[in-house]
Amino acid sequence: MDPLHAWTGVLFGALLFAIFLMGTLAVFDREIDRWAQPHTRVAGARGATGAPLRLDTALPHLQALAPEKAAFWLIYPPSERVPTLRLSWPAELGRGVRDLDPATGAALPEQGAPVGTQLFYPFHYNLHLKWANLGEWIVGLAAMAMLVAIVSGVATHRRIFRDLLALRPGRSLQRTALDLHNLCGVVALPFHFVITLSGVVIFIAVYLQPAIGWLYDGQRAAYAKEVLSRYSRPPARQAATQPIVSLDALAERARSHWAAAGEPGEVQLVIVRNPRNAEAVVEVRRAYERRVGLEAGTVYFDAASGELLHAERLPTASRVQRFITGLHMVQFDHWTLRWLYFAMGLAGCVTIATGSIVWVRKRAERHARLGLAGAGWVEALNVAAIAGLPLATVGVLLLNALPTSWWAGNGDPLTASMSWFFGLWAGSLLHAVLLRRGGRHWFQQCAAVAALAAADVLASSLGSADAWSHPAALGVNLALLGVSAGAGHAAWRLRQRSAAGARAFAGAAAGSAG
Amino acid sequence: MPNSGNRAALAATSRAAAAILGGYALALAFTAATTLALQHGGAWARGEAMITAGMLAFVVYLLAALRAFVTPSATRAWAEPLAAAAALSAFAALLAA
Repeated sequence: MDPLHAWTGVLFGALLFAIFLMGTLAVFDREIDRWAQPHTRVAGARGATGAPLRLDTALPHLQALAPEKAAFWLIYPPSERVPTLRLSWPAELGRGVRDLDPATGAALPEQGAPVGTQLFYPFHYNLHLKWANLGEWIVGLAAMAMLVAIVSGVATHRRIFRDLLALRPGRSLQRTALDLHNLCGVVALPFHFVITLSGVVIFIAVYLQPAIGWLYDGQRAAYAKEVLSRYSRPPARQAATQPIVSLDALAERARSHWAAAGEPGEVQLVIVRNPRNAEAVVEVRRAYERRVGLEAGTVYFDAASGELLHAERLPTASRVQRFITGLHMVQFDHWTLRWLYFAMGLAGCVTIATGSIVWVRKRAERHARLGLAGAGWVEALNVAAIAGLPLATVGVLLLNALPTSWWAGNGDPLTASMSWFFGLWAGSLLHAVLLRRGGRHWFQQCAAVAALAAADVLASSLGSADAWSHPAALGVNLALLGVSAGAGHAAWRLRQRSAAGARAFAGAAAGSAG
Repeated sequence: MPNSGNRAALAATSRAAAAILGGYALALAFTAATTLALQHGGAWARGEAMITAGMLAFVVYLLAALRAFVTPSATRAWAEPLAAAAALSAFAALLAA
């Protein structure tokens, strides 16, 4: 079991660290969006009188902005975490997004990109590799490897409770790292196992596609209807002759329907499918509020007549799968639990990172003795994974805190953010590989993370008035200060260690010369 | 000695491949067989049977992957999940007919 645990870690550690880091950030993805897009920090989801919001103000904007052939329009009414009226539609790369002021219905000026929800969060489950769902398959394989690593890690740990309580900082880096690995791994062990297994369960339809295809004879619509209680109809040949029925009226009917069914709630999302077509359908989805299970109770209306076409009714087994999905995705309203997920996610990142560091250091020492170079390359990959990815993250956040015209030009800020993010990450890999003999890469990249995180906070403070008063922006700024402090401390300790090492080397050289 | 080291590495890689691929084949066959068994034997609806079988299949996959590293030989690491997958597939084909 020992070599199994070690080798699963070696092969999948970097990938798993990326998945866990992005997943941990995704817990607060909407707050990161608020930080990056100051114009979305509007106060009050509703007018002063508490009057229900007019969704119909979104339609003219969507008509103008969405491409002619767009397969759907998305309209998100304001909520606690996303206070604007948010519009979205399919675009070349991902989604087009526009925010409207919920009080006036006017389009808000765009600053920055929604990097939390559109960059970090999708990276977590598909690595932004969309071709043939390749990214999702890779993440799925990594998830199975994580499960194997967890089980084998527990199996190798004979004195699991005694070692759990032994955190010995100040000793050698190896000792501290190993203690941290055991501590973070064991304290949050149920979380690590459940979050990983639930993540895989979310994508049953992708991972078990061969079996599902065989069982359903390739009838994907039948699967969606039976398992997910989804309704869909193909577009007609002719365009719509009538305008879309009032969305506010449909939202009101959906609310009554949910209340009558004993599951009352507010509207979370309105989708218009095939919007310019005669067979357009309006879907109204319910907010999750305190429900764990990701069941939106979707109600489907004909867009032209407002006729009720279908209401979601999930079979019991599907409700179980939706509950497991909800356990993973944390879409419910509960700040304490959200912070706990974040803390345990960080523990997972620390577990994975320290495991990689401990293994590579041991192997590097052995290789140094034997005059081999392989471990240096692996360590460079480690640096790019464990320091480089955070570096790319704080780097892309810095861009978004600066005036958008400086770095996005005429292009879409999200596309530019993605290019910069992957560019910075690639740069960190190159830097790590070039500095692989000598070990200065760790220090330099940690120092860069510290500097960039501090710059993020500065840019945010200068760029918007409510950087320290709006709760989301405040939270992200405090977290960035923490990152800067942590990375700075790590850089300082690395500097100390290498200075001590250099002194010892110089002393030995002087001793042998004298 | 380099030679035995290489042989050990080859055996370990073989087991890993058996864990990943053999385990996956077993998970798929398990999904199909269990779905049909629940449908025909337990009068479950197809959708419910399928999603239940699917959720269980990942646990089966994990167990099969772990097993591949403790079998007496690397050959067994392949033979076990593939034989189980074949048996379950045959069972599923029978139920589907």
